[in-house]
Amino acid sequence: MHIIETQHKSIPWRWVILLQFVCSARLLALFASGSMTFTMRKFIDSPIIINSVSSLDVLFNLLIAAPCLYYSDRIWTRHGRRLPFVLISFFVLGVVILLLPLAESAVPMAVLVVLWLIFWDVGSTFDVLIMEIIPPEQRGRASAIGAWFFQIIILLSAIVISGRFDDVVHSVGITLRGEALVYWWGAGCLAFCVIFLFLFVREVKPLGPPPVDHGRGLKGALTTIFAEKTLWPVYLLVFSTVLMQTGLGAIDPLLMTEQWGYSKQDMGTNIFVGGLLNLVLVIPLIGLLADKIDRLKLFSIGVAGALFGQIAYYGYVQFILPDQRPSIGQMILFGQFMSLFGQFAGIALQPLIFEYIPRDKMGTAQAGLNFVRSITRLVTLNGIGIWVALYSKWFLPEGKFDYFSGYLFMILMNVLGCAFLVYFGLQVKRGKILPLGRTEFHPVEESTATAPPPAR
Amino acid sequence: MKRLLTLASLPAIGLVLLLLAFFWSQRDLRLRFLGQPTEGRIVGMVLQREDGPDDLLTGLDSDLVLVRADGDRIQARYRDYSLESVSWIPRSGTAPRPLSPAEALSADSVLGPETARVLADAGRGEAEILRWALLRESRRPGDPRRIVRLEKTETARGYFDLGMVPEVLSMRDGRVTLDPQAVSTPPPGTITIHTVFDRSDPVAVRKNKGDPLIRYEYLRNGQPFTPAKKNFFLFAEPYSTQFRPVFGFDVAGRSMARISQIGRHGGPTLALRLFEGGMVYLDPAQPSEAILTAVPGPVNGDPLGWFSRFCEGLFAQWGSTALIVIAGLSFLAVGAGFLSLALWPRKRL
Repeated sequence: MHIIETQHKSIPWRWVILLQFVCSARLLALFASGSMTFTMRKFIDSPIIINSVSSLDVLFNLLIAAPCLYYSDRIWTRHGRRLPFVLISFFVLGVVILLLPLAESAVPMAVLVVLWLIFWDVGSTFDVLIMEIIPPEQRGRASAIGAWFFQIIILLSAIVISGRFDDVVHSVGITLRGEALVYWWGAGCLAFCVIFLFLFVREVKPLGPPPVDHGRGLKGALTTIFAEKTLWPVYLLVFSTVLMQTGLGAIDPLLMTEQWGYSKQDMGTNIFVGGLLNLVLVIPLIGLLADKIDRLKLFSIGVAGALFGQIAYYGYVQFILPDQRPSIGQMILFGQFMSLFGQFAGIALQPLIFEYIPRDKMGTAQAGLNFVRSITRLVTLNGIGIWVALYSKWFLPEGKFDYFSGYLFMILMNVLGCAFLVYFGLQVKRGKILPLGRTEFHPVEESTATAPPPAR
Repeated sequence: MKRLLTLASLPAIGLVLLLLAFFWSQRDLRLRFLGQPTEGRIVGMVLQREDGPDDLLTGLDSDLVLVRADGDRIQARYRDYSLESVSWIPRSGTAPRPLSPAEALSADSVLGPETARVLADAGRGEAEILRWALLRESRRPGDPRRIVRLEKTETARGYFDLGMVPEVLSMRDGRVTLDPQAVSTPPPGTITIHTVFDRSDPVAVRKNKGDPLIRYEYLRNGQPFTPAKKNFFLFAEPYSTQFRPVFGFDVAGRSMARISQIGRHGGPTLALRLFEGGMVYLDPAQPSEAILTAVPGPVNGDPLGWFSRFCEGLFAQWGSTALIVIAGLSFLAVGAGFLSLALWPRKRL
């Protein structure tokens, strides 16, 4: 059978490999869209606006992706329930990215960027579609194959694509700008996805009825999420960790290219070598240590190490390097150091969070966590843009931006997050926050031991 | 029939993409693999503006005056980015001491390694590099040999405000020239940019929000001009300006020049560096169709920087072709996958 279908108990491995091609093409289009910072920079000076536009992604995650996912569970069309969202999304995204390099002023460019962010979220049902095709028993090996594909596309993007933005090639009487090449490559990847999904993927109607629509809208959902007081400490924990994960966002590439004068190809080298080091050194090291150290200790090491790394990097560049400009090697070294500790914290965080969530409230908690994460990210991303703009206005001549000053904001947020974490830890120690995920859990063996014997 | 068409769609698109890749770079492929290689040099740069006249740069001279904290001055002259002469003028009024470029730039230079680095950076460097150099120097407040002031005057020679630059150009005495008989060819001209970067007075630098640039003058054929950015000739342009190297080479006993097929927005090309060498591939029957490829040179200094240069040179030329080929091969591979599923399906699902 040459048509890939959902709802099978077992599928041929060739399906899995073919699906990895479409997943990789989608990711390549996403990586191509990473150049939008440079396209925005052509027309927009202010880092506030650049980061604000990029942060809309987080907002659309809540306003677009969540409803699309919700309704894709509850509808059925002759083309399925996930595919219509995915096909419309990929088609529009392809057209948007095709037109993006042709935009000649800020307004059409901004409209196209916003459309990209909206329709990317419309296509969020893609992951669910893939999971409906690959049955649970095959997902482990499928994700291993996916990881392998992922590494290849990272290398391809870093080495071949990321440095092409400024290039111009003249051939056969045609002038091809690098910006157009990058985006049209992305459009080509999306066209591949559309053709693949339209011609070779079919959704099979599930046997069970769709879940019931509660019909209380966003307000009802928010009330439910935040009315549950036992979840407040968990939201505090997540809020503090998102504060600690504050990054430069869309202005990060501008720090390297505009402020430190590196080329986009140098940026690709940074990602490529950093990625290789991460793969062969950092990830195995984490794997080695993760099971040998207590989770909470691992989390504390991660949090403290990441904060120390940020302070050390800022101090080293600002006060030790004579021209306040790190080499690519130094960037990779500090980047991997911070990545190591960030991954320590990341590994320990998820199980730690679930220790404080009662089993019967996991769904509500998950929705609440997503909401808190998104809103906090929205605030920090916009915050860093405003910080950089104000700092530059006060301390630099007009028209110049100190993107590296964003590290001060990151350190500030990290310290704030740490303070909330210390408060959380103290409350746990005083017994005011209980690990309800552990204490309120009664395994099935317990209930059978106390229950009366079954009637004969 | 519908099934056959569906199955044939992906391989068909793949083949079309491979043909497109071949069509797109047929000249480069033909000359790179069948052409005659010869050494060439990037002898000029064409600046193609989006809504304005083009410039053809044929030579670039720089005069540099470094003032040390102890009052000594170092004068240097660069011709086409190459250091030609250095003179050390002591504050005491004793006779200036001429230094050979090798002597001035060596790691154990009598001027000190830090000054040698400033001299090396300043020749090719744009305004930001000069700012970094002065910032670096200011981090040695106790050293009387530190540079506190830097004056750079850049003189760009060439043909400015051209309607259009022809793809194939002439060479005379190692310089690119335009046909003087052509009606639209203006006479050769000069652009002079005079800059002063000064960190000798910390209060003045603070007042200027840390920017040591205290003087900037841009004269275009003698007339004051305001460029898009306060920078040197090749770095003063808006992003939309395209930079296309002009490479010169010898064929059948005569010199000729051609505009490169590779250009760049936002600044000069990175792998095809002005006034440096490159490998030219040509068809002796049609030398005007020659192509230039970047030569990354030996790995000296930062290996990561070398790797970036290597990738830049390789993919600036072949990147677009490589991406079309990757897309074509992916379509073919996936098409073959579906064909295999149609021909040898798994027995049961």
